[in-house]
Amino acid sequence: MKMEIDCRDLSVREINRTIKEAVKNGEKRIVLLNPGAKHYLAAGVVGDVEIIVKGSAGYFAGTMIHGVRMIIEKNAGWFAGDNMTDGYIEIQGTAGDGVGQGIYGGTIVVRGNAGARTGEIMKNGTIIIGGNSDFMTGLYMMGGRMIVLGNLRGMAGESIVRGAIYFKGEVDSLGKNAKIVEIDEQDEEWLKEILKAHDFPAFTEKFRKIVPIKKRFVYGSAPSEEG
Amino acid sequence: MCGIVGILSKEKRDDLGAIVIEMMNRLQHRGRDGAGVALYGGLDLKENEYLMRVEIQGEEEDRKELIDAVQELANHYGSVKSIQNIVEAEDYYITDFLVDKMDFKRLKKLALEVQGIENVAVLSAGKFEMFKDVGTINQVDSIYRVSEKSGTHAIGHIRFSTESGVDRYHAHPFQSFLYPDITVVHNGQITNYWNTRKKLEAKGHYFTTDNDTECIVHYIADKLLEGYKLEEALESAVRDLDGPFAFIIATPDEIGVAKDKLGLRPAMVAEGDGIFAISSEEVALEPLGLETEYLAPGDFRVYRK
Repeated sequence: MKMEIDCRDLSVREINRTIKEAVKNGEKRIVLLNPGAKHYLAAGVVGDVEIIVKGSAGYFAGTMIHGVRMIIEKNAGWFAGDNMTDGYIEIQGTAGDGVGQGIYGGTIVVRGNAGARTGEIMKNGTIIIGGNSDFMTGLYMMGGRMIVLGNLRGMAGESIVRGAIYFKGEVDSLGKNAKIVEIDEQDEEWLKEILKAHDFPAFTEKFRKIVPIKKRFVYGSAPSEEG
Repeated sequence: MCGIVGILSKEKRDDLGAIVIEMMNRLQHRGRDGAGVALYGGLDLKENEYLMRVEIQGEEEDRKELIDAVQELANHYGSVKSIQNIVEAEDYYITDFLVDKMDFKRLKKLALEVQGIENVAVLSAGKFEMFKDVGTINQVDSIYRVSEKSGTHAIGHIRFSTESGVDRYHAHPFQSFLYPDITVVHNGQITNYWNTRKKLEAKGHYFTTDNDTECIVHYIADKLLEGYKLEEALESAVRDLDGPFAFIIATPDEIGVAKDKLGLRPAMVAEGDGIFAISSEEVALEPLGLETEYLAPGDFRVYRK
């Protein structure tokens, strides 16, 4: 089954109500035509469904989804996948700030660059950025794993307490409580597998990872790598 | 929250006003306190002609006297070619004075003197047009018919007021008389506003409101006056101004955008087919069908005609 929704003249509320009704009726594939970078597309959708966005999505695309496979064929605005609990979001263009903020599970793939604060307070799940990730990637990260194939801008891993940011490029600067370590064999195996699964070159050379210096600290008193 | 837009076309376009209004309509969710547009390149003024847009308040009899007073001042600095009330409300007019035999230095003096007349406020003065008021962009458009205007470039603002009063004077854009035809729209807060203002006032500059955005336009104008290029002025602004911000600056033939160091306010740009556009959100750029790009924290761009 495949259903198409022309978003051009619909409000976000009408679009999301139509999606939820269709999922309830067992629809497995929904195509959103003329999305027009509207905000909150597919927010709060729960179910085994694929949603294809034929263009750009605005803020909070796929926020709080569970089990949904969402493909955004162009860009996504701030906070794509915010607080998702399970499922898959693929952004084929670039992502704005805060992609994957607070996610509890699932996978987010950004083929292009991501904005500032990628994976802010993420708790679990995986985020893969094909390009660069901007300022304060992994801010207050509490779990899960992030992979950045390009560069990380300033204050990467600021106040990270759990989880890891795997990266291949350069790091402008590290945040407090963040340190860079070499990857081990287990990491390497996992990286190869996940990169291949998501159609990225599975070369693990040059990969390093950012992890917390201390796993528990009081916010505001985080140690820096220099001590 | 506030929403900002900017657009620059290499050629004059009859639909520029309509495009700006469409872009701003798509950002209406960011605030309903006020809206405004500065539109350039649509007036076809001669070299020594300038437009001064003035708000005149009071009883009808008093307003007529005030128009005479403004005219007398304008004739002192130049020569009034025409006077037109573009808005006639119950207790105020918005009146355009087209003044000939002028240059920018004299226009600045005239604007500051007119500003000093009780019940009179200068809304803009230069070779561009400013349309700003309280309410939504559709309300502003219905008063000023911005969507029927032509031009080469424009900046616009949707206001959710977090700083200073909700009235016509605190709506964006803001103009600076330090430099010809320079205006700004802004989303965010300038947390070192007072210190920045003090420094600019010490250089003799005059503030007309207590809105933090006003200090941005004077700051940039001050840099341009010192001989910096707009790119250099924006780079310096990103370094010197504190707080979360994204702002768009317009000059007679440029628009520039800058974003704060921490990336706390959104801004993106689009480019193609002789058009450059800027917005808080992609949703406003979508009708242009151009390739879009997010600005990184601390990033700035300048587009020229």
